[in-house]
Amino acid sequence: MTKFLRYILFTLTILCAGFHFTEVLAQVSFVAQAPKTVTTGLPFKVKFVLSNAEGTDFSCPAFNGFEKLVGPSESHFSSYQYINGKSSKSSNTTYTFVLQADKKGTFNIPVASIRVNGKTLRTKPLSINVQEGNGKASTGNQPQEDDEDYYVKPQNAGSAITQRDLYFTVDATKHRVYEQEPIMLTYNVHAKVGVALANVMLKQKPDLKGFWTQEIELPRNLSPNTERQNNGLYRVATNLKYIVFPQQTGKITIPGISFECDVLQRDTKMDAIDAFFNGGGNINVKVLRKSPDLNIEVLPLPTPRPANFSGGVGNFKIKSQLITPIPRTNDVATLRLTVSGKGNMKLIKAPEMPFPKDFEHFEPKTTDNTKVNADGISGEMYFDYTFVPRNIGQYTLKPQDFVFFNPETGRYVTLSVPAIPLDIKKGTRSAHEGNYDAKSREMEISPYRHVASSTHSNGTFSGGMLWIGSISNVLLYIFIIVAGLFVLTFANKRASLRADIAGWRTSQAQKNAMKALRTIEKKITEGKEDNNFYGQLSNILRNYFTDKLRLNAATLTSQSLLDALEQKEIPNDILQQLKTLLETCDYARFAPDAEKSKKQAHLHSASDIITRIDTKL
Amino acid sequence: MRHILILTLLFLCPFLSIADERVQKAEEAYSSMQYNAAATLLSQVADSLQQIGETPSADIYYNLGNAHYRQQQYTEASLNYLRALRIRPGFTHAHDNLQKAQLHMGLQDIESDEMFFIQWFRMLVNTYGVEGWTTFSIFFLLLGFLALAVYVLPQRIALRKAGFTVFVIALFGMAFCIVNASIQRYRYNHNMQAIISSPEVKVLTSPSPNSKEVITLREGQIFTILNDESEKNWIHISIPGTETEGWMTEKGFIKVVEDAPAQKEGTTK
Repeated sequence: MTKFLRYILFTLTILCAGFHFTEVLAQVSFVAQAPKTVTTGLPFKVKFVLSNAEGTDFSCPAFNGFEKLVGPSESHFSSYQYINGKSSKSSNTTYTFVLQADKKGTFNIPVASIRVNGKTLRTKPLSINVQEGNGKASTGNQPQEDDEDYYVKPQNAGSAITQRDLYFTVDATKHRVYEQEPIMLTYNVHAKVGVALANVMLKQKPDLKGFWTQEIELPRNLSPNTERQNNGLYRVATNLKYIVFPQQTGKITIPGISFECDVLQRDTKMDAIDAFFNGGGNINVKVLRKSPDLNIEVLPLPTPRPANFSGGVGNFKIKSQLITPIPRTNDVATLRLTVSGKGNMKLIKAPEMPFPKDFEHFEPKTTDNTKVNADGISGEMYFDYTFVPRNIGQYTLKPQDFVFFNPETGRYVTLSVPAIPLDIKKGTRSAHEGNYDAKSREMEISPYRHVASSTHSNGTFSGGMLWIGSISNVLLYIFIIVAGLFVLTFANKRASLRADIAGWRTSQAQKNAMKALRTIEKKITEGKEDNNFYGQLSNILRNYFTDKLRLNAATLTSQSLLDALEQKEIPNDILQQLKTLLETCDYARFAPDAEKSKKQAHLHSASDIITRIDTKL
Repeated sequence: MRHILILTLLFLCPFLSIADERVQKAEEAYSSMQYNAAATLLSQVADSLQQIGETPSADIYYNLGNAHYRQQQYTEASLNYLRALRIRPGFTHAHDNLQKAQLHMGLQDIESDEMFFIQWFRMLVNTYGVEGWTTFSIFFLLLGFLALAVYVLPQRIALRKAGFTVFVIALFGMAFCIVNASIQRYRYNHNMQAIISSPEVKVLTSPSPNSKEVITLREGQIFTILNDESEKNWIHISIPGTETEGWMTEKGFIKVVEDAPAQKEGTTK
């Protein structure tokens, strides 16, 4: 049903386009086209072009003196023009051959014939002058002016793809190598022109036993070369490249690798219109191919091997460098040996370094700075020797000779590293520190810690004060807040008291008076009292009352004091006691009384009065 | 004023420690490169402390991790570093060594794609543990009172202004520290990290043996157990830093925080 619809669609399009114009038919012609001169060994094209007609029975001429590589391949071209109501139509059918000349001279391209509407058309014969090529062409440079697509043009469906049409080869740079000498394996795909190879996939990773293998990255979209092989034109592309280092000796077979190839073929059963809607009418054919096995003879390295052979096979250079400019005692210093060159770099053993006895030293650290490329592995390997000198002095380090095998000459090469002078200066660190540092640097982890406490300070169960949300923690916060507020209010009260001086003095009156009384009492008990005891006592009392009652000291008399106290409702007995005391003081000033016990009694009486009055006020 | 002084002194005092000669012996064994002996001693110390309900210090676990690391037992090393970090989140040595141990096993930190300030906040919170943040909050509380005193007591205007500013800052600081301390407490109590201990463990899309595989975890991989106990014998897990989630059977891993009746796994190895 859909097919039918498509037909209608297609026909309608054609009809609509062609209804309203008169067609002008162009002239029918059949010509041969070929270059006038060619060179031997280079492919060239010969075309037979039929214009403005449909032809049948194309007869292919025999090409004498040339080798036919490809052909005939047929291509159609047609165009319609519609200008000012007049249309013109032109169409071409081209039969192309790819030929190659083998000999010098002048050759003829014979006549080709074709039948058009019952008539037979012939081409004019052509002559081609063949010149001597410059030799290099025989390996097949790509024909320059050619457009690629007719090489890729798919063959018809069902045509067999033989081992000669599509095959794989493996190339090794060498077939006889020494152990550890790199070999480059190149896997190429060869597809005969006409086999439209769309995709190649590796079926299985190669199983390279006895080799150390490194794959080489190939650039994407590697354009194939065109080569002439087995009397045909082939497109050759590199699929895989490996660099392998044999690890075993003897005859080793590298098994072939399986590839899965996708080949496009044209489905001729499909008609043109169907093909147009179905993506060109090509079908995909899967072809399995295997590359041939490869035999390699691996020679053992010549014996006897030198005692300190490093395992290196290739060509190397070595140099030494002291990385720490001034090595100091008990400090970590590093010496670097750099091996540079080409070969099995990754398998080189670090040369031994005989350190003096009083040097602490560690296993050398290897840093790989090599690259894998088409020539093998090249670059630099760094061997860092870490050591800790213990004593000051002059030393020389003589690294072990570096011995490697050069497969090109087939001999062992010994390179000696010049002795390295070391001038060890005094360092600032203790022996223990330096040692620890070097060890930790070597292992590259942070060092052991001394365990101060084997338990965690506040476990979950104990719920310590610093464990947020625990009872003791909440209590701690509450305590701090309460204590803080308390301190703050207290301080605030004090500050405001201090701000008001009279109030401050009132509040301090008792404290000061008591203090003064105690001083006097102390003097009496020690027997050092002066004569003016009663004067002092009376002064203390007066000061106390002027401060406490905010009275004027200059106008204060005993009577005015007693009156003021009476107004403050001080009990009579206290007033009486105070009056007696003040009078005693006044008398005693003029008639000194030296009795110690009496003085003490007066003092007690004074402090008693002050205490009692203070509570009342 | 005297009370506060006494309090601060109290905090500065080192807390009582339980002396254990095995700790001393372990250090000696470690420095003489007998890592196996050191590991055995330290794990004994940790076990005995746990049995009496004490939490071993982060240093014990860290050193135990180092002892395992030196024996190339990177899974056990990672586990012990995780335990040390649980107790002391800002333990940079443990963090560094954990990364190295993970690198040795070919496992690398997955870059998390969180916003930078969330990462930054996470890092800040993890600088200190519960005690650290609580101490800071108390410090801010005291500072707040000091500033309040400067503000309240009659002083010059400029001084009072400064006092008020410091008081406000201290209040915010205290709130921030209390929040962080609470976060760290939650982390400590709800640590659901675990580490794969068998060579390979399959993680499935749903808790049934026939379901599709999400990912295969290798030994040493750290993951988080999600709080989903809907299925018996299955645990719901996620891998930190990624959005990978899945189910796995209840074996082939060790939890950072063991379940209440302690299963002895580390000591038998």
